[in-house]
Amino acid sequence: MTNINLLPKSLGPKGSILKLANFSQKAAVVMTAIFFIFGLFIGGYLFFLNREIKNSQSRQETLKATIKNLEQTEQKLFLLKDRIAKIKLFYSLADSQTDFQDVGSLLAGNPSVLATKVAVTPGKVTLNGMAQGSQTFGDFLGVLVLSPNYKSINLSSFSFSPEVGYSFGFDLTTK
Amino acid sequence: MKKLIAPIIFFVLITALTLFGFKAGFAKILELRTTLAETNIKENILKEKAGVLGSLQDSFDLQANPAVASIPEKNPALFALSQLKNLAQTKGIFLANIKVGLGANELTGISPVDISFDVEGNLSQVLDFTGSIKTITPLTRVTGVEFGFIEARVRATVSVKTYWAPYPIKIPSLVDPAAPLSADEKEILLKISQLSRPSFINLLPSSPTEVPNPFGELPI
Repeated sequence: MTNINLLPKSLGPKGSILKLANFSQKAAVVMTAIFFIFGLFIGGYLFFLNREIKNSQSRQETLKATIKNLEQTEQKLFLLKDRIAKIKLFYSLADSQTDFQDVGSLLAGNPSVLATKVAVTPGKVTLNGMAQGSQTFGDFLGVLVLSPNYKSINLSSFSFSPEVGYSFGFDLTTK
Repeated sequence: MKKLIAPIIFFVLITALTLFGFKAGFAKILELRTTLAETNIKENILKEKAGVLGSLQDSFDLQANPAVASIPEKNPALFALSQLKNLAQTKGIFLANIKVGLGANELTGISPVDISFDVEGNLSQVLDFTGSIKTITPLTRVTGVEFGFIEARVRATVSVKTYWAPYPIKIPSLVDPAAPLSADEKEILLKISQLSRPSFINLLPSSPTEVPNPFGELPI
């Protein structure tokens, strides 16, 4: 059927308005296309992400069940690590044994000097002894001074009596 | 006029809908991507943990014992004394005047027990004995030695400390990572596995025996 416009042309819409209407129509079509294309893309991507999350969660549940079965091993590993940390603490503490070995070797190498009382604590040695003659004491002092094990040597007491010879006391700081 | 307004209204509506939809869609995408990244991190932690625990499952019992014997859960004074006495016996000396007391805490995490005793022997014997103290478990260290010579013999008062620590109360959560033993930790395990451990004798209860005459003598 043919459309017949009986209205006079002066009453019809202006050319610029018609152009705007035409443009709006085209723009609406383009925008609708954009809406559907990107909408489809976003929807698809959201679906993909959701599926990935669900798959990962289900794999996590399986792994959690596996770990639950290995709970005893985990406890042992944790306990072992805890003990090892404590053993490390133990080994960080100072020991008097090396100082005792050093002073023991020193005395064993100088049998003419008699140690009457020796006290060894970590980092410190108090050595009291006797030497029959000045030569013996001098030799012992020489050995002590040359020993690489002592940081400082302090002669805390020194006396002589004809009966016992030289009595001496040293405070030694170990390296 | 109607023909003119309709496409404009439709255009405005579809543009608004597109903008709003894209904004909401992208926000949701960002949220899901963050969730996925977090989930993947958790999954990787669990995967790694399951792998670590699975590989350790069979090798554990052997390694746990020396570590537990080195720093026991409870006061190890009796074990340490038994070990020291055995050690002294092998070195041909005798422990006397044994004193045991709880020591002052030097470090957080491990509690000390002070033990002191007298030993007598020649110098090399005493040096050998004190030098061997580091080879026993529970881990024991020499904290002091006081000695003097009586003729050719040495009489020494040796002070040692041995340590204990209660087991941890809280174990890590299921989703916390579990790292395998580091080279440093393995080295410590190897070191302590060479130390001597206290021996235990399990006394089994005797089985019930028939008593033919309940008023007579019990069979031995």
